[in-house]
Amino acid sequence: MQTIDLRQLASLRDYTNSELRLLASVAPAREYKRDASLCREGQAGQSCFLLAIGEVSIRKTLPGGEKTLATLKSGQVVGQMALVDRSPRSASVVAATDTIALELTRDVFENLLKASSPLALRFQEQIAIAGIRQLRMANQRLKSLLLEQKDAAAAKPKPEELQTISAALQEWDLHLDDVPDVEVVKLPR
Amino acid sequence: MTQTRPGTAAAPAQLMARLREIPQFREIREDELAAVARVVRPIAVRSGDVLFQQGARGDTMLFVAEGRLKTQLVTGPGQFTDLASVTAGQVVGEMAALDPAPRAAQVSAASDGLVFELSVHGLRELRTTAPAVAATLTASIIADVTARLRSIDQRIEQELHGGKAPAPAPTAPATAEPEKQKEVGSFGRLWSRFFG
Repeated sequence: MQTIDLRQLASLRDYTNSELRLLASVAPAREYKRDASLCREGQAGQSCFLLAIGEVSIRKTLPGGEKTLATLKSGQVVGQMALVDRSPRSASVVAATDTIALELTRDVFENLLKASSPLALRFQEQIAIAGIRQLRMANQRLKSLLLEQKDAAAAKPKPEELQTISAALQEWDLHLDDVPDVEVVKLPR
Repeated sequence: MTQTRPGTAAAPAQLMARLREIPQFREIREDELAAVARVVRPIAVRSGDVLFQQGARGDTMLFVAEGRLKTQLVTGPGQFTDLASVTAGQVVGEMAALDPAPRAAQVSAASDGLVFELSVHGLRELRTTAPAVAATLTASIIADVTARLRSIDQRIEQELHGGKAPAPAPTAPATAEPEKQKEVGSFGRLWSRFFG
């Protein structure tokens, strides 16, 4: 069994020893072997996790199968979204290495969000920052996706261009399928 | 941009009354409202004022009391993509304030109005002077960030599914979180490991 020193986690460095003791008392440490799931996409959220040791992958079902969207390291919070808005899990969280995480159940999480003790206030800021970082990652993903689509659309002839090409090819008794690698070059007007 | 400092152009009573109009401050006690008034800065804005430059660093967020702000992505010189409209009661700029990073978008005033600027230091000061207010503000930021995250996730899914709403994610029946992993020892053992 591994020893966990919460004071070593950068995200908890502002917590006092008594706050860490309190956190440990309400959030039991749980051990996950590599490839074990902390939570699964689509399920109702019952807990969120503060990663103490190890790394987890955020995985999502996409066209073509499940893909890893991000890897989170120790000190980070994961799984809080489904507790905040009570929606199903948007992604799965899977241990990428042997992992130990402090589990905060819904009750504990909601109590910490409502309270105004120094521990609760630190925790709330940490949850806000976790959400902000996830939002930045999501924004970046969307931006990359839109750029990829823009590039793909620019490379692909538009239907009217295809009709023009098709008509031109018919003059030589050819069909579009006969020339699969058509490169469309737009001439300056 | 016209800026009004508390205690100067805006009388404290007026300032408190305007602050009270913001939903997050509607229910709080007078002494808590006074604590908020000490850490915020009212800014009278005119349509077109740029409040945050995209890419700039900053540790402040804005609560809209009156009027409308807009967030825009600057895509080139003089080129903008509208992202969102921020209306009375909403907050903007909290991402870069809480987790320092360059501003992700430009924020400007879409109409004349009034905003209150709160720095992250001000928010932390409220933890001592008005902890319940600090908790309420942070909770509203968490809710707002989570809603935006959901919305972006849905947009990503739509884009990945060719612009159509995706099929529901595979859902296991019932309450269905994975089986609980074993707890690492009892709390007593943990205690001795952490502190012992």
